[in-house]
Amino acid sequence: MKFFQLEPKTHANYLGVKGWAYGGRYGIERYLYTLQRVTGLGVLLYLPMHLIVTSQKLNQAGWEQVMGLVARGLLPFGEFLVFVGGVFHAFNGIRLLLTHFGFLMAQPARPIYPFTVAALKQRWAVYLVFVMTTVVVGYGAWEFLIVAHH
Amino acid sequence: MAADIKQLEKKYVGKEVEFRLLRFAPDKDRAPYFQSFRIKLSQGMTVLDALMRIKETQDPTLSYRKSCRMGICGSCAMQVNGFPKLTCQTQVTELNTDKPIEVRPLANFPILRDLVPDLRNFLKAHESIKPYVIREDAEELDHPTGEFYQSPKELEKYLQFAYCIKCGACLAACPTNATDHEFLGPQALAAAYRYVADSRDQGLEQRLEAVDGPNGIFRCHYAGACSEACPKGVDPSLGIQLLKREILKYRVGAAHKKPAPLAVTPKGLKRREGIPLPPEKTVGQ
Ligand code: SF4
Repeated sequence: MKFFQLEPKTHANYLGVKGWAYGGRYGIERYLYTLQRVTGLGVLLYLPMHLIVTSQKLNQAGWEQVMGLVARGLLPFGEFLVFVGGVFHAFNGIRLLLTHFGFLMAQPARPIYPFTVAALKQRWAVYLVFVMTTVVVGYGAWEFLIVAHH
Repeated sequence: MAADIKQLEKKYVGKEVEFRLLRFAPDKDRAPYFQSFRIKLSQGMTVLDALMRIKETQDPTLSYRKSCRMGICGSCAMQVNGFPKLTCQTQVTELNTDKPIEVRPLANFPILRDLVPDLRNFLKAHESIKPYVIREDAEELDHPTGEFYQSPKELEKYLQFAYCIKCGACLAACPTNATDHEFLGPQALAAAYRYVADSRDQGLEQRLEAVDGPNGIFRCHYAGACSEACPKGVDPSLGIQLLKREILKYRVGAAHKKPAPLAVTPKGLKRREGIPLPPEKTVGQ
């Protein structure tokens, strides 16, 4: 006997970009997921601009003029943000790489209520990313925003 | 304890609570909309109980899926106040009852009607990872002559992932599923690891086509939300990361897996006195 199946009419219900970006009531890793990708995009967008500016064949006066332009207004702060993003992206990227290949993961265990997820057992790695990022960014802030302007 | 329960009863039983439910009838509605219902709480009422009460007393057309009502069947997962939950395991008193409680169908699944999600693609993804033991000695699987060896330690490697009830809560929580509609999803990937980690299985290579495709395992960037949402403690994100490691090992030629051999009954041994006989064999007679 041959049955035919009706194709039901449905309504799309994907959370989309909003759902991708908004971490809701989930843990810190969920927020780092978004931050990792946003910082990655930021660094990626900055790179061609940086290459274009620094690859100009200019004499000293021209070069100094261009450098004067990019040192104006909020641009140094923007550059600093790219630096912060880059540092976070690098440290968090190492954590993710190690995680992706199972090195930082806990071993499977029988799920006994109340359940603990493996992510909680590797929280220390998240805190380490924060500490490392803060140390490097702190040093960078000194160099970028204070030493460079005196 | 008893006093606590008495206090809770006093606070909640009989309290009127508002439920905002997403409604969608595909034959007449162009888009889903919210409808509010007010009901009085009774003792031990879950969100699913509340839905049943609404259906019985206020609107018999309200549609939702349910079956076992005790966290076994995985039918009743819905978004409760924006978080995917098994409604049969969510006590109304866990939520803020002073505000309306919002119930929507699981996110990242198309809506069939009201609170019923369309699970067809989800189940297809599960099917695509070949959720069964694969071995080169297929004849033994089809016509078993005995059991395969498996130690308790080997069992622990995959048991956690075998608890999945296919409720779909993990896909509703997954940010990759929110934007990539073709992504295999945490459930199927964790299920793939459940079999790959099984000492009796040899099917990693056969599963790679589904698992390691463009919308496969490496679209997971470890947000961990699936594990938090999973009502059974399956921890799909753990399974996914461990599966990535197995794939890497396979790709660099370091995966050496000998499948568990058939258990042979030792011969020539004498049973000690007082030890009862084993039960009758059920296979290979
Ligand atoms: S892994 Fe957990 S959340 Fe996902 S379908 Fe299975 S039981 Fe549900």
